[in-house]
Amino acid sequence: MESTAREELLRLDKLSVDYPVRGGWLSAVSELSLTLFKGEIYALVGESGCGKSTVAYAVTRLLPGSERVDGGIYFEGDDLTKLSASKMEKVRGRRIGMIFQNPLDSLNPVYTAGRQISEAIALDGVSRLDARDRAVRLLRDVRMPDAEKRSRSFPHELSGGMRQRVMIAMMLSREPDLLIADEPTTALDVSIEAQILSILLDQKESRGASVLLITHNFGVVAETADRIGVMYAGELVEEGGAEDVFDRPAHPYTRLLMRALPRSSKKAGRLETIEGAVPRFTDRPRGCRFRNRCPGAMDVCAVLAPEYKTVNDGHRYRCHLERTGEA
Amino acid sequence: MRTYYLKRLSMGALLIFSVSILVFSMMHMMPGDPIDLMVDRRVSQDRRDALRKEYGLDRPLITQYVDWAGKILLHGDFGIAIRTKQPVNDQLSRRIPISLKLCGLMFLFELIIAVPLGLICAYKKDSWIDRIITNISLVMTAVPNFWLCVILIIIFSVKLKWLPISGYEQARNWVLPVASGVLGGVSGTIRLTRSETIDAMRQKYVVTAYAKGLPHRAVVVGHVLRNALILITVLMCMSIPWLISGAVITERMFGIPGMGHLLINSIVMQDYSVVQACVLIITTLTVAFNILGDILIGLLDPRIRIAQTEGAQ
Ligand SMILES: Nc1ncnc2c1ncn2[C@@H]1O[C@H](COP(=O)(O)OP(=O)(O)OP(=O)(O)O)[C@@H](O)[C@H]1O
Ligand code: SF4
Ligand SMILES: [Mg+2]
Repeated sequence: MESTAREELLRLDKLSVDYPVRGGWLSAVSELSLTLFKGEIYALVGESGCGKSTVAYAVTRLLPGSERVDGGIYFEGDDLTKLSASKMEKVRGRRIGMIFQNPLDSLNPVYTAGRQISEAIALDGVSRLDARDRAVRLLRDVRMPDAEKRSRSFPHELSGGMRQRVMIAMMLSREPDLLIADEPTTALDVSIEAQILSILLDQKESRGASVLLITHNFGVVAETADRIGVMYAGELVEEGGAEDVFDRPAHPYTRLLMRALPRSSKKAGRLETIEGAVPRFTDRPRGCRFRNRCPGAMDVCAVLAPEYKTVNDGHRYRCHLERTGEA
Repeated sequence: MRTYYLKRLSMGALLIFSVSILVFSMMHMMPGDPIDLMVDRRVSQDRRDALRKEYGLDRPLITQYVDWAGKILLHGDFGIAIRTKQPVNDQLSRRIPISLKLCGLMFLFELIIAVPLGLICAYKKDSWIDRIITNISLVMTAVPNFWLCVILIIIFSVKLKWLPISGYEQARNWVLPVASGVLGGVSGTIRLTRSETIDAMRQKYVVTAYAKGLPHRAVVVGHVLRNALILITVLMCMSIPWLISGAVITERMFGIPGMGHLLINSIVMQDYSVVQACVLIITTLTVAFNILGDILIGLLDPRIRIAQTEGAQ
């Protein structure tokens, strides 16, 4: 880990998001606090349904509108939860870019790829014509084959990987300081996945952008992330430098994940290998959210939610157990 | 693409051709002799034969059909009305502009009223204003058009005496007929606009549009409406034939001497050549608007444009 003083870019302060469901409120994200520094890639990892996308949508204020949000989202000094709608419009795309999970539904079927990218560029006062040229250049930057021609294609004429490149070009186009990538490679095959991850890495290295990389695939995390946050059932259960979390996981959940992970193949890196499913909470439970699946659960876990324990600077986990030995 | 439209066009032509055969044979399959419709029973057989010759009714049916269809195709000439013994075209040319005006006004007002209301409902979904509009339009759908005409006449002409019952010379004559047509058609369009817009709002690409920083207005116009309007435009275009057939009743109820009025009168009087002309014109319009709808949807939606291109190969 770098020893230089790191500048904070995004800080979530006890962020909670609840969705209205039959019978009450579903706690999708619960008191989640984390800090993202300038120029780093932070991977948010967790099983399907643990609330990763909800975090991403909360930061960009693109949640459906029926939800309840608590806590603060501080971005370069502004609390995004308190910004006016029109100020928030100026944050999106320009200061925070967001790459979505599904690249097919996420592009408008009636506009060409180039048009959808240049529409974003034109927001910064660039003329339509220049914007179109820049769109083609961006497509080339994200290694779109035949960029000139593809910029005139409609989304349904492009493959999944190409669509994701369009999406990425669109979100890079205004050079945001923070890129949120919500499972950018889930639907893609391994070679394209590697390319897309290297594009994200390049953003960090060439212009110091930060990336919040959301994934349920530990394999993706290994080569890319500087730091890792592990989510379980809406909570951040462990956080630390990538090596710390990988080599010395402290939380029982993370350990299980690591044990289930032969690090080579992509498929095996998926997090579906632990028994049981993530429970959904329609009320704030008293004890630990992981206890029904935890091999080390104790009586206290049922009544008292654990506090964070610190392993070393920046490496913390949330469990009643003291860390013992290696996983 | 071109092959696709050629295919659609020839299908349309085939349909019109079949309908033309149907309406043509209708005249000859009806019980009784067309001559009976022209002249009194007491007219002598010689005179009848002469008439039959004069109108070409003694020739084989095929020849008659070719003659009839050829005149329509080449000169737009629908022949002579058996009953009134006037050229059908004269009657049509007086009445078609009136019908066009009626249908045009109905379509225009339907558009101006329904689309904005549907949009309001979509954007204020589940608010009191949405509930009121949706419920009223639901009730309106259940009301038959002729009944609506009667109600309007009773309220505004008979009771309040604000508007005339019939006539077509002044602007105020048109208020009730247009209103009845619009009220009948508007609810479907409101609900279509509402559901299409709500559907478009929910799409992921709308979230993407916000995510890249587009202002709300630009998202609404450029992404939500742009996509919602595809189906609205096309369905409205394809609904025009319905509008025209609905106008038949409206014209009759309000005594507007348009084509619908002519059609009904001619049916009652068994004036076949006029009926044939009207039915053929309405069929052709139906086919034309359907093809127009097809072309429009291809223009508006590139996915369909591609499918049309591939489908034709
Ligand atoms: N609009 C909504 N209304 C109600 N519940 C929702 C809504 N959106 C998400 N949820 C629920 O909130 C929880 C978290 O969802 P979220 O999409 O954030 O998970 P995720 O970690 O991104 O999962 P995935 O890996 O499948 O994308 C899930 O249980 C989900 O069913
Ligand atoms: S607090 Fe208890 S149940 Fe929760 S992870 Fe730790 S040991 Fe397991
Ligand atoms: Mg998700």
